[in-house]
Amino acid sequence: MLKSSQDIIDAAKKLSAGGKRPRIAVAVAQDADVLGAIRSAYDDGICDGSLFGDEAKIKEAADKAGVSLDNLDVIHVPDANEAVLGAVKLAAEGNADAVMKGFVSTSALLKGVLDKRFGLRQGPTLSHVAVLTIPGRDKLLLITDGGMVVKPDEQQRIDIVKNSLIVARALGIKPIKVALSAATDRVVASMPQTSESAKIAEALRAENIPDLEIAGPMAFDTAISPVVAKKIGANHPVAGDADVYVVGSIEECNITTKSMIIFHEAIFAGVIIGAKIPVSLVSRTDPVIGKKTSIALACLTADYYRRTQGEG
Amino acid sequence: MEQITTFEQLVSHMQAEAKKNKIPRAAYIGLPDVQAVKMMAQASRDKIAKSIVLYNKEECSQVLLEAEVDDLQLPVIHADSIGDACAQAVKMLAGGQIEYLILGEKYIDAFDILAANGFVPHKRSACHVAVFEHEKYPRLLLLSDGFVTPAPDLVGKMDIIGQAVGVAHRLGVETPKVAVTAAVEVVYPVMDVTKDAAVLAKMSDRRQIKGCIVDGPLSMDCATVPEVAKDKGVVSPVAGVADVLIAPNVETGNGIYKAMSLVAKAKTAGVIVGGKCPVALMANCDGPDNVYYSLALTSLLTLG
Repeated sequence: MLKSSQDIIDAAKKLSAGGKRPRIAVAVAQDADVLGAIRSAYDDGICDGSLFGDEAKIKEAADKAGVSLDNLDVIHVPDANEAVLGAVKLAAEGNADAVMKGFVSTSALLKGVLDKRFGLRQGPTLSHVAVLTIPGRDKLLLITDGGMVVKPDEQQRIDIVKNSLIVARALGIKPIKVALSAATDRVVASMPQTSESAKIAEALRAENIPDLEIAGPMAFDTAISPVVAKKIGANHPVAGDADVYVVGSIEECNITTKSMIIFHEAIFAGVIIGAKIPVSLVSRTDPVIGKKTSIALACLTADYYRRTQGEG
Repeated sequence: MEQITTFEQLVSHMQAEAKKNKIPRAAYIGLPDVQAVKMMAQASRDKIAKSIVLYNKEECSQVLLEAEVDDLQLPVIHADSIGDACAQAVKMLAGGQIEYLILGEKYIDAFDILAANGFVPHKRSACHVAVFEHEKYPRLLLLSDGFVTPAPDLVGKMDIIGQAVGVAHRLGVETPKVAVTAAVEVVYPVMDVTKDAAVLAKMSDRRQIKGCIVDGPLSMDCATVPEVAKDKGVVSPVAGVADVLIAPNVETGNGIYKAMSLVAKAKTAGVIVGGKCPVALMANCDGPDNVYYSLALTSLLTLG
């Protein structure tokens, strides 16, 4: 079981060294930060890169980032939409393992990924899964969805849980302890998210998903702190030991996560799940280790998809 | 009054006030834990607040015994149940025997009992205001609401801003900078939260919201990290220097509170305002200092 950002990077390196070096297809690669991240992932032996975009602009961005393009494939596609399609096609044909967002909007990238011609569409819901390394905690925390679904309905939240399980499995987490969020641990009539979380937990328990422990509603402190869980007598196996925290809105995820990044130096990595390949994106403001972890995470997730191909 | 930027300053301020005013008196509803008992006794010795406990006397005396606090430092008045404790508390408030109430998060139900019995005046709403002190932030940071108001609409958010700004004023922040938070710092038509935030900012521009400067939508980093605000080109008097964060809903407010208190180990204090008296609220994840600081904060609010 991987416990930190560094563990994720190391696992990806090991995977790569074991002869299954993944390839990341970058869509519209003329982005200095993305090129910097891909370069360092390449140099660390994590992955190869295929850079789709305007060659001159890619060179310019690489200069700006102060990185070389040696050993990275540059595929000259001046038009941004075409560059997206080129990157997605490479992945659809099995010649790349993940697609990464460059200098293009997330929606334009996902439109390409979901283009019916490529057959990469899978689940009904695409969601972002963040993987946090929280100093002082002895395991990773997956938190979702802070990037895709603004205000998920009940079914979408179920899909979001299932998407998060893919990442948890790719990280070797077993059993997977999932907590469904609310502002309190009790079902309270005035707070609809409490009853929704209870219903979702029950529905997913009924599905008997292997290795899944799920509970909700559960406040954030009850979910991640054994001390709080003990103090309030929450004796569910998930309480105090959650691997995954599934929130109720994009704001809840984004702002809670950022509070931990700003005030506690949590390391953030993330991946978009829901297609047949992982979609990687890094934010300009992520520190180098966060960007590298995101790429490593995409590689591990891609490997998990490969290993489980054909399974339901 | 000079702006209070740390809890240490808040405590000294209250101790200075104690010499001029009567020490505020408070009642804890429920069974406090050992740490809370110790801290209430300490606050009493330091003239921050004189507390009593309303709960089953037998159970309380065991906790007092364990905390090595005697009944003189922290008197216990027997109550048969939480409902009974609430009823007694309301009576004591009406009779002028106490100025405010104290609750632990595990007894937050008691607030519903109080509210159902007219504790929150008609047409007003109660909300929770948290105060954080963190080494990475040069001033106190207030947050509302992570405990009480589930999903405030625009009017609800105006109310929350008013209440939180009221607390900031009491802390000596002359014109509080209020950040209405969202996942992003731009207005997206698909994100209702960003639209409400923009409306509140415009209302502030037009002086419809007074006594503060409101801006939004602001992401958490744009609200609290000046470099990020600058880097993202967000030009705003609030960006990077917020005094008050307004959460879009109770789940987000609760998540921020717990991230700050539990994960980032911020010093915290919390109070529910908007009722007949303020109610100090200690969250499950708070450390013992929180009891002391929450009493100092709530005592401050009860000063004339």
